[in-house]
Amino acid sequence: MSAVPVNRIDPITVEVIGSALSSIVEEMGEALVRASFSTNIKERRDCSTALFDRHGATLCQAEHIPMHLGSFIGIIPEILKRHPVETMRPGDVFIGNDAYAGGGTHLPDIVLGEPIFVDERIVAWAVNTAHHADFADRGHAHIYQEGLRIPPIRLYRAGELQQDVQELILLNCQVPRERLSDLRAQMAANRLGVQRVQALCRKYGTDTVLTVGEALQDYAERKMRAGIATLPDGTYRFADTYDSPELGRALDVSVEITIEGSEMRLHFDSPPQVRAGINMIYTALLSSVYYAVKAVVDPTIPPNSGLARPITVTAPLGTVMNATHPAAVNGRTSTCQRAADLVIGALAQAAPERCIAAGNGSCTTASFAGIDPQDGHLWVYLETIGGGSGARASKDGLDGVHVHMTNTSNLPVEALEVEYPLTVLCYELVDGSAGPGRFRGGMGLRRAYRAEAECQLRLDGSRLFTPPWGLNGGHPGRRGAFRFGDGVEPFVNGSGRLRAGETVEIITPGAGGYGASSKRDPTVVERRRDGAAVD
Amino acid sequence: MAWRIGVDSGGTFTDICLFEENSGRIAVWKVSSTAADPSLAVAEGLAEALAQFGVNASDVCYFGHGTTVATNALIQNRGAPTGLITSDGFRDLLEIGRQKRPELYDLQADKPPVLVDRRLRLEVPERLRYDGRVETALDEVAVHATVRMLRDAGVEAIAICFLYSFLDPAQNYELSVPLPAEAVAPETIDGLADGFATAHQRLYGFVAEDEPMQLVTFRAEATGIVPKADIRPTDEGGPDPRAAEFGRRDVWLREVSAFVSCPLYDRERLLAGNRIEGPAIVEQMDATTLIVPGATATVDPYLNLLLELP
Repeated sequence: MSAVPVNRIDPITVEVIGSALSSIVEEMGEALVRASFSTNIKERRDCSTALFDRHGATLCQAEHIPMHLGSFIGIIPEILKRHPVETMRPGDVFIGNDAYAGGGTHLPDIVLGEPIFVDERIVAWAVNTAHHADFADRGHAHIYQEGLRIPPIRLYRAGELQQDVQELILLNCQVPRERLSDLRAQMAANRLGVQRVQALCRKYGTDTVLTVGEALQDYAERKMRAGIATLPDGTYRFADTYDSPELGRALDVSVEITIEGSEMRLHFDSPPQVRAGINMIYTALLSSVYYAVKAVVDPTIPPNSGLARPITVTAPLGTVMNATHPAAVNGRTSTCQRAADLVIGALAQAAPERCIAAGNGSCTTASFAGIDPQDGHLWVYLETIGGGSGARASKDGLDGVHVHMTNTSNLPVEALEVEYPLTVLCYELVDGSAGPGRFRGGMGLRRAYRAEAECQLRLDGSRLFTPPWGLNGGHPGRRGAFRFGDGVEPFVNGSGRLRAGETVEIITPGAGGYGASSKRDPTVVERRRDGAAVD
Repeated sequence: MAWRIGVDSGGTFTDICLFEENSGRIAVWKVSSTAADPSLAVAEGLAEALAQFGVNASDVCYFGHGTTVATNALIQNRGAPTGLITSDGFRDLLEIGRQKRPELYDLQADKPPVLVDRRLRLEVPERLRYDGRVETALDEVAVHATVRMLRDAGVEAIAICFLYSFLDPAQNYELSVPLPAEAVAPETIDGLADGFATAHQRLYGFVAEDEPMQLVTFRAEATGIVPKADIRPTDEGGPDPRAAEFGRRDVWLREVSAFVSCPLYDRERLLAGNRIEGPAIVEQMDATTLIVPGATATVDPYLNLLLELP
């Protein structure tokens, strides 16, 4: 407990310090993006930043990528489990990525955590994760094929770089030059967070800041409880399917949500974990639930651990949605998208006006890897492509955006072609992909590439077999697809090779419509006739 | 006295902020904006502010000017109905943007309206490569057909945005008309109009007789005598730069394709006569200088860093 009782802090101070914490994590995020080297971070912003309290509870997460919360809620408890607090010194920096022992949710998301010392005691943690576009062109039967597993260990000890640790990590990376620079950007982002929190403690007093941290978590809990309480009590079930090019088939998944007063219990059922990179671990499931419940119940709840207190999440161990060692997890974001779809689909029965139809339900990914003929170095390029977002109760869905668990930028065509031996042939909204309805779903995207040099390509995504559903009589949106140009050898489980001059076209799913098409305002249909799915 | 002045020309007010560099004194003044010609309020407000705060115009060392007028016109969609012509396959780039949604958690949030509606965004065959090579030459017949379609759809302005147009000035559809060397007189302006018509006729095969012509940029330069800046040489500090060294860092050097441990020098602490052999890094607040292997940097008496490449 802190020296200052929670009820002695006035609400204005809570608000001022709470806003300061938000601006610190946003500033850390900007520092990370600006200092980074790889396109996946500097342009696509595939990274997140956060502050944690001494016990490992989230104080504040930057508004980047909800999926990354899964890595955050895992890392501090894993660090504290292995390293006694008494052994920690200012300038210690812990690195980890492993899904089962490192606090991560998949190996490319490397997390750096640094304890923030004020007057020789730890008051909080600065944490960030960056998706390193590496560990490409791998197998996904189990996690040992997916890249280097890093438990939370010290990358810096009292401010001194542990060269041996860094060399071991870099030797296991395909593009070490990018990794090193990106890791340094992550260091800089945390260092900024440490300085800012220390300054905040100097200005307001450490005890006040710590107490405000607790007050903010209590406030998030109160807001979440108040929001859940507005939903009618009851049990709501929803079933969907999940497909992936790695599986070549669709799996049945379902959720049962029970609302009782101000509390919510969610239970997920899915098949036993599979020998493919689509499994998700419990922290990934938690981040999916926290995202979806916050979005439906009250998007303005502060993004800290207090919002999780009224929510209980269960799923049988060893299943796709609560996988155990050694299940492969690389492509878990698409599975997490389905977990979010399940929650929103079930809550639509309790609060239809707040929920939206199914979006593209995927994290459509193209991961290219090749050898630069000029210098013999490996290159890896990863990008994820948005799609339709579900129609709302009173308006159309958004076209060509990332939905729910992910929110990365694209890499502009010109920046991509300057950096990699790839040419983008088109990048556009897909006519006919939006699910019709009183309000139509969002449109999917088409992005076609031509390889200018031979490369390996891995394609990942979902809603390729079963379309995104509509709500309240709205029609489904169109499924996604991968189309290959002349001469491309058949891809196996989403992986294959492109030779120079060969092409591939990625079509991402649209989104479901909301309400019956017959109720659509005819003038609106006319204005946006390009968007509606009329097949 | 050395005053820096910044002017923000807004839709309702024009704000003038004055800052005196030595004392840190700040003063602000505000006048109503003049929508028909925003420069009137800038000039009027500036004159009033100088008089109000007793500032001599000759003491103004910096003048900066920004405006929200153009931004307001864009976000309020007050411009002419506009069509867009772009490279084949990319008409939706304007709408897709960075593919991010407007709010992370709010399912009801909307993107801002797109500046050009989808049906007014048309494509023509054309493609440049990243190095400026032409992969597909511009189909001029298609351009003419597209322009007619947009005109029939009621647009009054057309934006032409091709990929890599920054690499090829010809993509910008600018017509340059040379200015005669002699002093500018009313006849010179008429001459420019004739020159534009001739250039337009040569490139596009017609002259738009009834269209008004606008002279977009006109610059006057004045030459006079100002007091010479007083820059004095600094004392010689000898060739050894080690007093300015503050550490070492591993730097990836393309020349050797490897990390090389390089000394770091603080530019502020370098003295005249200091000599640095590459590889090395010189850091200062606003720039970092890499001295590549084989190169030498020498600090001259005015503290310039002179690089000699191998």
